[in-house]
Amino acid sequence: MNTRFGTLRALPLAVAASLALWGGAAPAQTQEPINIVINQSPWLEGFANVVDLYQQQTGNSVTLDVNPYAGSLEKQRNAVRAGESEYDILIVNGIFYPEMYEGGFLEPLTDIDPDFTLDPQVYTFDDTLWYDSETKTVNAETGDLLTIPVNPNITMMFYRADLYEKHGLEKPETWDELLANAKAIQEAEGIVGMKQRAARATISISWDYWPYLNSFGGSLFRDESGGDFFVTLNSPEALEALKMYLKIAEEVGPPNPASMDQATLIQYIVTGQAAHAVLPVAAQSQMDDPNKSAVVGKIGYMNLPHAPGHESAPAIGHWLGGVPRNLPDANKQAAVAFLDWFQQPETQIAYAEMGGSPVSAAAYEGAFAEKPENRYMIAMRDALPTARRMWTIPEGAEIVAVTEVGLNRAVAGEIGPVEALNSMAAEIEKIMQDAGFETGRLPDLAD
Amino acid sequence: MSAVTRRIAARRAVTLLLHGALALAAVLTLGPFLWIALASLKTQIALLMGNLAFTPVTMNYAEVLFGNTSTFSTNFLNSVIVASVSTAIALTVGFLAGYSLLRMRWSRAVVNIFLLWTVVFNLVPPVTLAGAWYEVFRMVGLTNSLTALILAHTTLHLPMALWLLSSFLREIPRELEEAAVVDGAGFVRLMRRVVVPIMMPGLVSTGILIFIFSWNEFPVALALTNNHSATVPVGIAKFAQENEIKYTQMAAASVLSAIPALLVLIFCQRFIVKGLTAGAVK
Amino acid sequence: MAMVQASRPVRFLTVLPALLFLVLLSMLPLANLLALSFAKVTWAEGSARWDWVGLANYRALADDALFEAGILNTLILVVSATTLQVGIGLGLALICSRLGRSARAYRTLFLLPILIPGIIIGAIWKLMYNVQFGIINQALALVGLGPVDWLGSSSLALASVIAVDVWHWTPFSFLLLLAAVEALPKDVFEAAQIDGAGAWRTFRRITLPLLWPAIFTTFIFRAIIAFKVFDEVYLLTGGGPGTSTQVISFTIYQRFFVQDSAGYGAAMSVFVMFLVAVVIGVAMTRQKARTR
Repeated sequence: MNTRFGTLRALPLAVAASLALWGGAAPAQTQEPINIVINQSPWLEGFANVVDLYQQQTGNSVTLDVNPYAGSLEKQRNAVRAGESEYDILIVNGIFYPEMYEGGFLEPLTDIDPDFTLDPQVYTFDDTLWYDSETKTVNAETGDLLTIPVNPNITMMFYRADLYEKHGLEKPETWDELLANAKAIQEAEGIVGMKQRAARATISISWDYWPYLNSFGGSLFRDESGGDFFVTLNSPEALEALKMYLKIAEEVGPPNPASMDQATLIQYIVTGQAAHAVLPVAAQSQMDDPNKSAVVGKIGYMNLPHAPGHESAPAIGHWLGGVPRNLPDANKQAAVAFLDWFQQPETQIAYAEMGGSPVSAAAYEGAFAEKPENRYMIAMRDALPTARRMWTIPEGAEIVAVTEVGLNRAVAGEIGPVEALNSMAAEIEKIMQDAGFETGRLPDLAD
Repeated sequence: MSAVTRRIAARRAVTLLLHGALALAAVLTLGPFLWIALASLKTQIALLMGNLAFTPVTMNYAEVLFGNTSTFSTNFLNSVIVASVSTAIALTVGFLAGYSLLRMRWSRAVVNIFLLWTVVFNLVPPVTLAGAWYEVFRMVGLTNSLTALILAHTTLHLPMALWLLSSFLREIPRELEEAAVVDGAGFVRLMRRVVVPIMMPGLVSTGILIFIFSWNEFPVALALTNNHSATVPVGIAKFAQENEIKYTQMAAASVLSAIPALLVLIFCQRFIVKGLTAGAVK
Repeated sequence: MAMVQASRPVRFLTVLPALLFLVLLSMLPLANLLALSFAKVTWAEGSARWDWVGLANYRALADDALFEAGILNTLILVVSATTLQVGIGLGLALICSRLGRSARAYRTLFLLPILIPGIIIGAIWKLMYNVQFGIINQALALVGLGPVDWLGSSSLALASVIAVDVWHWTPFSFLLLLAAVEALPKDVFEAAQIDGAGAWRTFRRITLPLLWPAIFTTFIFRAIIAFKVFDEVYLLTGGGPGTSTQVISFTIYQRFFVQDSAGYGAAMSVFVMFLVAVVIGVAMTRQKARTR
């Protein structure tokens, strides 16, 4: 399908932008038409607008194959495993990208175009753009550039700024301060202090717990980038983090926290029934829409809390654009041409202005971010450089199945935190052993 | 009061009770349906707030039908094509095979293998077939085509067609066919003049079931289609996004998507009842 | 008994299309599935590598908590949901049939739920079950009860899923059973009435035995579909909380697709198919023995 998406709304902007930046009428097509596989999302319309802009400016043709979120990963797998991929650019999920990297399905961008360089203002999302196929690690120093970010989805703290003002609360730095604020609001307003995403799904509670784990100084493995896959999920730091997670659930969470999924979190926030929730930034578009929200203008955004002496560590759920290896050269060239155009500061600013989610500091540090309706961008400035990836190996998909169940059972009270971490570490060690890694795990935590 | 009038009064009471039971079942059946229809007329926030009183809006239907990123009309057309063509093929193929197996002196072993297969194949979760089918259709160049999905849906529902139609066929007295054969009717004439007319109610009710199953099938359609060939359930799944579930648009889409099946049901009700009385399951 | 005479080509041509579908689109994929179940597939440098691992995939099933929970929950769901559906469906069918023309409108009405795609049913019921805003808790609040966390508490979640399945699929049982009820020979009942048999006795002694084959078939037919339940659970609970609503096709989906363990996922599918086939085989043999 041609990207007729959002043409009406985007047209004046697009025309203005193209006149201002490049000038002149639409030039003739110089590249092969390309086909991009992407999933339906709140940020799709913004992306479709920027694709329209590209077509107008360059005369090159781009189509979007839009799929439901469910099943989009299988579509990409099918494409890269075929003789020739039906897609020229894959928009890969920031959780499942290691499978594409390790399988050798993506061509390094600099192999396609030796002159390609990553614009220095583009955020690098904990180095997840590079992969070293020799050592099989995600590593910016030794790796090849396989993708550029297309969407900056990371988690942020959504909170009731109006209630903070009403009760004279300070933005929390640590988890304990957050707990205190949540308690204060819960007692004064009778709404849930903090909603956590503790439900079990393909990836749900793990994404919610990882920022606790990382911001307490814990980690899944000892040193993934260095190729050391010794399991450290049962460390004292991880236990502290899990205890904090459970404490928040118990003291300021809803009844039955173990069933709270992302949709429920958003529901509680937009109906004014919760004071805090950690949500992906992509959910911010719903907060100020009067058809979707009863708290228009009342939600504030901030970086996640951390343990004293550590950094915040919001979880990465970004989307990466890469070029499959199984394509004719001309298509690869055309794909890289689009990605290169997309990452430029001018495009990124235009992208933000058409309702997109930019990935470059150029957009977040511009005047556009200072507008009240774009207040989330200010928080993103702080949060983006501290965002942390979850894992860098394809076995992550198996590991997360273990952590989803283990963490969820701990929240549901079926097992204690010590037992949860010990059993998860043991299962993860086994997954790693079976996959042929040199591994091991910390001695069991004692009760 | 005479015994007769008492009997009549008791009968009335029972009838009333039975009507009451039906009404209760109808309310339980319709309740969620009405709720979906109401949800489709609310704004998302009105739905989430649980407002009982609300001002109806048409924005959900507008968004579903004409929204910038909506593909619902394409999905709808695709679903109509896939469901009707695959139903037609499954009925034809299933009917021919069913008739042949029951009436044309096939050895018991052959008949049993076929019938056993319909059971075994029914046991496979469709999700696990999707991957293999994708491969098959890619090899013959049918990737993402409606043809591929039609063939897949036909395969999926052929066992049901074969099974149901066989049980209908068993109910038909052979004498009619024998009489026609004695009169010198060939196979085609026999089918056209005798068997198909008698089987019509059975064919229609089996057809309706297959149509509905195909119309609602999700995992296989998800795996085998793209933006151009996606069917209604796949299109509807797009409203359940990673960071936002558009409940009200989903509701509007589901109201719209129930229309064709509803029409079929209303207009073919005569056939269904007839078909049913012919004895679907014995 | 005279058979319809058909020429050889007609005999083969009538079966050929079904045979083609059977071989090309169902046997081949299943053979592929079977082969996969003895292999471990890895992808590197853009190509697949199959390593034969014998029965290792099958042995691994024993240690898989999600598999165990999936089988157990699915069995509970299949037995209870199917029993309820057949029971309610039969009741409605008998009433509809007895009331005749005056119950005509209900026949169409009762079929409505099967018209809605499973994924929508999951999404809509999830909202109806909602603790704070759901219609069910709102209705309970009117009579001073609740709120009940239907999907959130581990002990209730599976029952809530079963209730949705009953709502969705009772029409199916109703449809099939109504057919059987309508086809009952009227004269037997007239005879029973003349004999002065009571309603319950007539039901126990005449209706139920006559309907038994249809009830059995409906049960099996429905149970097979219930065993594959996926769409509804997908949006309703995602298998949680904990593993309380983990159904087997969801486990297969997770292992096979999400984790991309095609070999292991295939082994699980094959094993489940085998298990169900055995259960149904046993049930059918017993049923045959009973009718004889």
